[in-house]
Amino acid sequence: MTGAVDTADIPTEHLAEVLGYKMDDHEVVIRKEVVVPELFFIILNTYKEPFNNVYVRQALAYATPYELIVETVYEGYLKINHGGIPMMFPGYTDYKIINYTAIPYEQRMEIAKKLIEKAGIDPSKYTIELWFNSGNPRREKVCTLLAESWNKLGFKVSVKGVEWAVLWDLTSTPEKFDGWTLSWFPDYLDPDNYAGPLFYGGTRFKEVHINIVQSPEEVSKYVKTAKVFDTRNYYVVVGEKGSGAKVNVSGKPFIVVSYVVDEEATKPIEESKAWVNINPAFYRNVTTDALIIAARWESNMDIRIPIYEAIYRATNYEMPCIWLGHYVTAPVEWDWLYGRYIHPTLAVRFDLLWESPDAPTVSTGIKDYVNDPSTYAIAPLYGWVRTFDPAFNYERFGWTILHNIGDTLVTYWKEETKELTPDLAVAWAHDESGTEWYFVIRGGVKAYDPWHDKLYDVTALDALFTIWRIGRLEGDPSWMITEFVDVNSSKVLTEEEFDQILKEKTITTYYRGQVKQVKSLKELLEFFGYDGPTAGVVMFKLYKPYTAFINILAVPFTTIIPAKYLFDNVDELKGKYEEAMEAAEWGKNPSAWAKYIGKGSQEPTHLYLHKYPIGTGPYYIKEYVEKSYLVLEYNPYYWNATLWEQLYGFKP
Amino acid sequence: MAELKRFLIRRLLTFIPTLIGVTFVVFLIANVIPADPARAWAGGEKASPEAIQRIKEEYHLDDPWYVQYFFLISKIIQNDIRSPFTHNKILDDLIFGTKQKGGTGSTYGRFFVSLQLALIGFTYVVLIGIPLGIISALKRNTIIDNIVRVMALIGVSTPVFWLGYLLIYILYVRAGVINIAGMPEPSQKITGIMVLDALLLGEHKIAWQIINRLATPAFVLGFISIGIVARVTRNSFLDSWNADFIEYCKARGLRKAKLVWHALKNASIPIITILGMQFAFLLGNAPITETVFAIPGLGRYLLESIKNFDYPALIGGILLFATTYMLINLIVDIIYAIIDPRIRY
Repeated sequence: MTGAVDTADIPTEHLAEVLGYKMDDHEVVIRKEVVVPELFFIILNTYKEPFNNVYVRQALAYATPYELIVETVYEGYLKINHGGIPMMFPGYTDYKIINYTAIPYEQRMEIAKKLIEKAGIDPSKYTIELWFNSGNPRREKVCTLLAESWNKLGFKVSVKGVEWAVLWDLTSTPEKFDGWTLSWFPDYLDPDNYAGPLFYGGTRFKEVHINIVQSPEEVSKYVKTAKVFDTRNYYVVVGEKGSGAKVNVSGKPFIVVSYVVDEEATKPIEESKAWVNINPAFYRNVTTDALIIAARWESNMDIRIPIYEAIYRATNYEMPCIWLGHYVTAPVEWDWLYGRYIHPTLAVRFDLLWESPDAPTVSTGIKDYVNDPSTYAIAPLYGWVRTFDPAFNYERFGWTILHNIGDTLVTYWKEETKELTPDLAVAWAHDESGTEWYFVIRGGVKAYDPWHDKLYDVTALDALFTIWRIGRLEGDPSWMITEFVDVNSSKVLTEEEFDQILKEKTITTYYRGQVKQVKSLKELLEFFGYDGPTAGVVMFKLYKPYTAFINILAVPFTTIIPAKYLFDNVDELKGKYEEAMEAAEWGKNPSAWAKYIGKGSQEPTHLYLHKYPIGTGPYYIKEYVEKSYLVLEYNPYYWNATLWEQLYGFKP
Repeated sequence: MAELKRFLIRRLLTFIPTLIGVTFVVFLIANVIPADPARAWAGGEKASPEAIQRIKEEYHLDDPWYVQYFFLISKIIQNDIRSPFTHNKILDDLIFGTKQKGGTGSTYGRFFVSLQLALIGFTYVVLIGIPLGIISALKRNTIIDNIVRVMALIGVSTPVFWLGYLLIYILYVRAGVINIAGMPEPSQKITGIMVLDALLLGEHKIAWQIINRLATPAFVLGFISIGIVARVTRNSFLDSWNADFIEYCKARGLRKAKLVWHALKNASIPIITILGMQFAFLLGNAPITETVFAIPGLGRYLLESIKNFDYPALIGGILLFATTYMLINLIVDIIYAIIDPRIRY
């Protein structure tokens, strides 16, 4: 409030303490409130009684004081969602608008009591212990409100705070817990990042097929049994592969998901581990598992969306978790700051903000740094960057910094969530199978190494090296690559090689809502409106077609790092750049890099990047002192510096 | 001298079992708690099985407890182990600083930040606590004595966090005269005392910024100790002041200042003892003050380690803290002998 910072992440319960605070002619304001996809819920142990009964779970949902939680715990900064897919993602269906979809739970004790009767249990025989991560007073309050209300159904509910590490242990297997609170922040913008971790029950399938048919009679040709979900544009039918299923609805086409369970490969629930091979509620439902797998590998969004709508309805009806809702974020800032926007997954780009010229000049108390109209000073809530190595970075503040000092292949412009924007890739396309994705790399991009005042060219080779290295290191976020991308079968292509592929294969691209088959590189670049230089093409080989893969490439842990930078500076690699690239045939055989790049947190390139970040983004790191301060300065070699001229009329 | 040498060796040898004991207790607690450290370190609910397995291997989490303990302690001492959370070498975070050649980072370990804070706090304690105690004793049973005693009582009973937030509100929010973010550092570490190093390097602005940053939290930190030291000084000084030798000195016609000096000297053993204890207390009490004022010191490091279940870092911090505590006690014992030649070891 002294003006030393322009904005601060203040928990919503403290907003009233700072709002309206004045300094000279300025005041602290909230310009925007945004519902974020972070979903808050109570996980129930569905493997245990009484939570193994769907009516009990629904009864608890009806006995949940939603409004009280929103108003008294979150001061209105919680938006109710009764299902497991965020309201801003495909698959979410607003029960208030579309009456055939989800159950609109609200606190209705009479319905809850009837459901308990229907469940046929005596609640007084059950004690429920609700856990929250200790040191989180809001979650404690939520649990207390739930306990008060659920006690009225006859259960004996108690509330307990537990340290995170203990919570992970106690909730990893189905024996020890009843219920606990968690919120889920998306890694990347796709409903699979919710349906998979939160709802997938670990059923393994020998086969999962999708067929589109027009009549109920045709449905019976594909499945023995049928569970039908009524969605906006389709009936989604899921059942065991075979024939004979009877369906009594019509009027819309059918998406038929048929499956064959692999009994041997499916782990029994009691042997499963939460988050590893089953969801945290230990809830298993073969039909919804089949839907999740079908949607994951389906590349046609017209089919994918109805399947997610069906999954949403299943999460809403089955209630393995009591879904509470989304947090609403409300950044507090001085009114001299403009341009602040909020993206669900990406942090704000600092260079897109500006301040009015009459913003005060205030000393930060650190060296000669002042917060003036040309400086953006922020007091973050999330502590410190755990590591500057993107391959190991899996936390929000770290991603904030990476987003400002580096570039990914694709990105989202400001608040855009559906359409990707070219970043270091100027165009992209995929083959017919959806397993080969091609990215044409922007030419002329330099990565600035501020520690040695040196520049590195960034090419397709670096793009492949970066993604390959993430998979190789097995760092915390690496699963987003290793689960979907066969990094060793991915490769670098020249523009000519790619042009030839375009001529020979059916290659499809989509951009800004348009889909197009392209036959030449020129045509592809024209489709993206790009006529600048290129620096090769990288092809990523996927194990299966995964539409959301491209969204992963917008996440800051995939920030592109020039390989030569590491070979120039890491003691173990010095002088071996040519040798390593030759061995890998300059990106045709990336597995050869395994001789040079190891695994784990002691790996030399990780230890180097951990301390000495490099990037191509609008800023570079001038200096930092851990847990104290971090200074970013405009990157004088930023490839997109003309943006600043367009926005502000200057070039640093 | 030979006696002192033997004493030092004897005391230093007792450090070893004490340090083993202290660290083992922390290790034991960390192991007894039913927890999943590998998952906590690998990113919680989103950690992949591969990342968890890698961490287990790196930190020997699947090995027997004695292997784990020996691995941790030996690696911490050799500064060959990294915090699974910060990925920095533990002793770099704590003592040596994380700044590397040509790069950036902290020149000072977190310990030196806390040491600096404790030293400034200690300065308050000595400069305010002792004079208050003496004044109170000399003005015994007067209004001044009563005021000082009430102030001492307030000092002892004031919660650190309350005083901290109160001063932040007055000095930062309202007056805007202090800074409560970041931690300025001199460009080089010379003595480890940051203000002193800044002055030695001619970085006067940094020296001022450090004082500005730490003066208020140090006062908050030392507030309780000021009260304690004032009370002990008063009582000890009174005992000494009422002793026969003071009457003899008075009879000899010594000036009052001389008398006070003699009395203080004789009262100094309990004062030194309490000062030694208070210095250790200042270091040990730093977590709350450092949290309230967002100071990246040893105390906050320990709290963060607990929060992250980062027990390798926690053990490293405890090891350093216990060593410091024992060294302070050792120094106090040595000072006894210097002050009072009658004390032999």
